[in-house]
Amino acid sequence: MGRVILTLPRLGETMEEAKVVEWLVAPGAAFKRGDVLLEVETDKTVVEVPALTDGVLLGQLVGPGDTVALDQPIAEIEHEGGDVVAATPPMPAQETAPSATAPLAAPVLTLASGPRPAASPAARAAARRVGADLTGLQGSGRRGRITAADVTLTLGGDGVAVHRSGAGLPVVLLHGLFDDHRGWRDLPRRLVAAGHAVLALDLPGHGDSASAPDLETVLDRIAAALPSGPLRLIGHSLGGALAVRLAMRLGGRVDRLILSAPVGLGPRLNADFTEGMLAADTPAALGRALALLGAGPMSATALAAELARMQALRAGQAALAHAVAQGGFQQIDIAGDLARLTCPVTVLFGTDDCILDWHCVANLPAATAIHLIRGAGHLPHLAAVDLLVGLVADTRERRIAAV
Amino acid sequence: MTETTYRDAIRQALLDAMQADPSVILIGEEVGLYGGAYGVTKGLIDLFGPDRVIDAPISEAAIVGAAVGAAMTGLRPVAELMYVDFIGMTMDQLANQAAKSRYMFGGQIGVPMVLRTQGGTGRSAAAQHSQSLEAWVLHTPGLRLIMPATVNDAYHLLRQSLTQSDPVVFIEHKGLYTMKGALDVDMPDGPWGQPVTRRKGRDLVIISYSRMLHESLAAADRLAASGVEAEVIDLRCLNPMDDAPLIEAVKRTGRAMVVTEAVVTGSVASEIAARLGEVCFDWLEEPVLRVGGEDIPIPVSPALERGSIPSATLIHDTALWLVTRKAPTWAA
Amino acid sequence: MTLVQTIAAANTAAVGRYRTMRRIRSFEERVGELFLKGESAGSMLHLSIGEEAVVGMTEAMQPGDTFTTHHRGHGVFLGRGADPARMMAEIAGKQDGYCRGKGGSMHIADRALGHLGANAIVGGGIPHIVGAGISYRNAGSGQISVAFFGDGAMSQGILYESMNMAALWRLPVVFCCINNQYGMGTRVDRSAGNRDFPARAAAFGLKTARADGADVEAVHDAARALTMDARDGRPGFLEIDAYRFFGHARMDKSPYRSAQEEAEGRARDPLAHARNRITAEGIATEAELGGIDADAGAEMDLALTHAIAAQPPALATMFEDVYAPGSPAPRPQAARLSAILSEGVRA
Repeated sequence: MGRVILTLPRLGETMEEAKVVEWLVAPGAAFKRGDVLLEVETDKTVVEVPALTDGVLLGQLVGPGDTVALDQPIAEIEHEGGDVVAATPPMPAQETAPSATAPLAAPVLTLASGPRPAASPAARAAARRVGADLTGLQGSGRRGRITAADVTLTLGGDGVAVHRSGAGLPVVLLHGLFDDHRGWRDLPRRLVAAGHAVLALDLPGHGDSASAPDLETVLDRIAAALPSGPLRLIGHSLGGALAVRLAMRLGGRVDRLILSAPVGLGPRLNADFTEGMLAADTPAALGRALALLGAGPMSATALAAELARMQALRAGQAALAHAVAQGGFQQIDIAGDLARLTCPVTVLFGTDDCILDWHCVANLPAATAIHLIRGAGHLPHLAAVDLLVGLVADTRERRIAAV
Repeated sequence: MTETTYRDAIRQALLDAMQADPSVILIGEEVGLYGGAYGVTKGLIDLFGPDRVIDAPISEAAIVGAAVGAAMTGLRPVAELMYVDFIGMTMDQLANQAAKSRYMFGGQIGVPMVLRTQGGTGRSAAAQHSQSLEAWVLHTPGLRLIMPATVNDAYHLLRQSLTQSDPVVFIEHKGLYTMKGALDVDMPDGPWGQPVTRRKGRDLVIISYSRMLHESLAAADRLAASGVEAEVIDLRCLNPMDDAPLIEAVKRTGRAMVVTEAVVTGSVASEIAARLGEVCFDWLEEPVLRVGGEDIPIPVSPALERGSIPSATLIHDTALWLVTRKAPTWAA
Repeated sequence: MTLVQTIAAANTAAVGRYRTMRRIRSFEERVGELFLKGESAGSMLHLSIGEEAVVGMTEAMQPGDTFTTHHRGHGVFLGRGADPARMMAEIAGKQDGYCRGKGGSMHIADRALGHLGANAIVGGGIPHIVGAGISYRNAGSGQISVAFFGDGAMSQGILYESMNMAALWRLPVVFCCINNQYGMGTRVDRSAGNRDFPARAAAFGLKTARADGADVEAVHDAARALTMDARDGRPGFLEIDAYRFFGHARMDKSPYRSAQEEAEGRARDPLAHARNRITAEGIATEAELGGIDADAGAEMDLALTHAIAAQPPALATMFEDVYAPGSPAPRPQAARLSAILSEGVRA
C-alpha cells in the first residue's frame, strides 16, 4: 500500500495540457487496474485516463473544467501492489487513437512521503487514542491532510463523542458501564485493517461525552450521532443492551448485531461491581472492583489515573448504573426485543464472568448464535478478538436467519 | 478610572513610584529639561529636582552602567534609552553586568533597575531608529522583559517593574504614545508574568504583544465578520512568561499564530512557536504560524516601511487562510 | 605662481566657498519645505543651517579622500560635491535617491564621492575612519579619511578609543567636531565637565585646532594645516565652533533655550560673515553674490521638484541589498506563509 500523487500523463504526441471533462471515480471509492478514473479533453479529442493499479481514490486534485498541464497532479490515490512506476500501461481506449509509433506514457506516480499518510499531529494523537490506523482515512484538511475531526467526529449535536477511523461499511462500537471507547483496545484497529469504518462511541456520561439522565435519553443521543445508511453494531454489557434497543429503532439499517456479555438476559448482576466502582475512593478500592471484570492486573499509576477519570464522571454514571441494576437485580430485559429482531445476532460470553451469569444465554431466541469463551471473564471480546473480527464480516448467519 | 494616554500613564507610573519610593531615580538623555524625546518625563525634573531626574550626556553605555552601580548600592534607577536601537552600545552593561551580577557573585549583589526604552516602526525613522530588538534581551538569562500594549498595562507593569529585585527591560512602542485608553490605578489587567486574553475565540489563537496586539485585535474583528472567532492573547511579560494560558488556548483551538513586529527570524514569535510546537504537538491541526517583520533592516521609504511589518490585513488574511483555507490575493 | 595669481586663486576660492555655503543653506531650507509639503520620509530631518562653515574642511580635502558623518550631515556631503537632487530624493525616500530610498536623511552615503555613510547612532561612524586610515597607510595611497560629528559625540567612549588608535598608529585621519552647542536639547555646558575639546584630543597626541564656525576662511586655514599633517601620518582634531540655528529636528521648537541666546547665536552667521568679507575686500560685488544666491535657490528648487516627482521604490526592492549581489535575498514572508498554507501537493 502506498499513498501517491497521480499526475496527468501524456495522452497524445502533441498534448501539452488537457481539460478535465468528468471524474468517473468518486473520492473514497476503490478502483481496479484498468478502470477509467477520469476523462480529459486534449487538443484533439476526449481521452480516458485509466488506472494502472488497483487502489482507492483519496482525493481529486482537479475538477471538471480545469485545464491541467502535462505532469501536473490530478489525484491523490492509495495504490496496492508492487512497483507502480514499472507497471505496464493498459492499452488506451479506442477513441484516443494514438499513433502506433507513440506509445502512451504511463501516468507518472510519485511517492508522496512514503506510506505515511498526511495527518495533523492532533489527528495522529486522536488516532492513537482510538487505536486507529490512519491509512485509508479520507483527509478533509489542507492538501488532503487528515484532521482530528476526520478521526474523531462528533456527529450528533448532543455531545456524543464518536471516534471514527477507517473507511468502509460502518461498525459501531458501544462500550459498557464505567468504560469508554478506549476499552475496545486493539479492536478498532483490527476492524479498520479488515476494511471497515469504525465508529467507537463514548456513551453519554462516559469518556468525552456529556452525561444523560436516563437510558432513553442515552439512546436518543446515540441514534442522533450515527451516520445514515447500513450499520453493524457491537455492544458490550450495557452497550449490548443499548445495541439491541438501537437495532429495534433503526430497523433494517442494522444488518449485524454482536453482543459481548450483554446485560438484560438474566435476573442478577453482581452488585459488588457496580457499587464497588461507584464507591471506590482509592486506587486500591478501584482495583478490587475492576478485578471482577477479569481483565488482568493494572498498575498503581494506571489505577490512579482511572480513578481520577471515574470521579469526574461519577454523578452521571451513578444514574445509569441505577437504571441497569438495583440491589443486584437487573432492571433491563432485552430477550423480548431480540425475539423481534430480524438481523443476525451473535452473543459472546465468558465462562468465568463474575458480573453476569453466562447461563442466561439460555434465554436467547433460538436463531441467536452463541459463542462461549472458556475461561474468559466479563470482557470475552478482548479474549477472542480474532473471532470477533471474523464475525463482523461473516454473513452466514443472515442466511440461517432468513431460512 | 480615568481616560489617558499611554505616554501619560507611563509618566504617572514614574511620578507615583518616585513619590512612593525616594530611592527611585531617573537617568538618561533629555529626561529632565527636555522632558524626554517623546515627552514621557515632562515636568518630573520640576517635581523631583536634578538629583533624582538626571540629564545625562550622550553616553549610553555609561548611563546603563551607572544605573547598574546605583542599583547595586541601594537606589532603584530607571535608566532611559531614547531608542531601543541604542541598546547595542549598552549591551555589555546590560547583558554582562546587570543581567549576570546576581548569579556571578553567588546571589550577593542584585541589580534592581529598570531600563525604559521604546522601539518599533511607524515614523520613517529608518534602520537605526525603528527596530524591535526584544529578542536580544530575551536571549539573556537574568533580564526581565516587559512590553505593554495597553494604557493600563503601561502604568501597572511599570509600577510592578519597579518592585522587582532583578533588572527589567521595559520596552514601549513609539506608535502607542498618543493612544488613549482607560487607566485604573487600583486594578492591573493581570498579574505580573501572566498573559491576558484580550478576546475569546474558538477557531484559532493569535498571540501578540505591544503594538501588534492592536493590529491583531483589528484583524480579529474582521475575522468575526467572516465567521471566524479568533482568541487574542497579549503576552505583556515576555520574561518571566507564564505560557500555561497560551498552551491551554492552543489545545482548545488546535491552531495558533504568533504576531510580532520584529524580524521574524530568531524572534520572540519563534520562541513561542517552538514552545507551542513542543508542548501542544498532539493538539495541533496546523503548524504554529509566525507572522512578523520581514527579515530586513527597516527601510526609510514610508511605503517600504509599512510593507515590511505585519498589518491587520496581513494578520486577517493569514488567519482566514489558516482556518478556512481561503487563500488571500497575495498568496504566492 | 605669482603673488597676484595666488591672490586671485584665493579670491576665487573664497567666492566658491560662499557659493557652496549658500547652496547648503538653500538646500536645508527646501528640506524644511519638503517636510511641510508632507513629502519627506518621516520627520527626523536634522538641518545644518548655521554650520555651513564646515565647507572650510570639505574644501581642504582632496578627491579620493573619504569621510563619515553624523545624522546632521547634509552640508558636509554637499560640500564634497553631492548632487542635491539625488540627496533630496533620498530624503523623500525615493528610488533614485543616493540609497534607493532605504536610508533617508540620516543615512546618506555615496561611495563614488568618498561618503562612507551618515549615521543615526551618535559616534557610530567615527571608528570607521580609523579603519580607513589603516587602509590608506598600508596602501600608501596618500588619502585621508575625516569623521564629522557633533558635540554630542564628545560624550561617546568610542571617540576616545578611536583617537587613541589614530595617534598610536599614526593614521592619516582627521576628527572634525562641528560643535553647534547642542546635543539634541542639551547645551554643551550641561554635557561636558570640561569644554576644552581640543585639549581632550591633544591628550591623546593628536594635532588640534579650534576654528570660529562663523568664519569659513578660518576653518579652511585650520583644516588645510590639519589635513596636510594627516596625510603625513600625523592625525588631527578640529573643533568648528558654530551655532545650531534651529531645533534638533524639524519639529523641535527649542523651548530649552532663550530667544536672546538664539538671536546672539544666529548673529554668528557664516554666510553673512563671508558676504561682508568678500564685498569689503572687493572680491565680488553684492550684485554678483545676489546672482549666486539666486542660482543656488533655483538649483535647490529643481532638486525639491525632482524629489517630489520622483518614484518611490517598488515594494519588492525592500529585499534587495540585505546581502551582496549574487547571494539569495531574504525570503519574503508572503512566500513563506504561502508555502505552508497553499493547497496542492505535498512536496
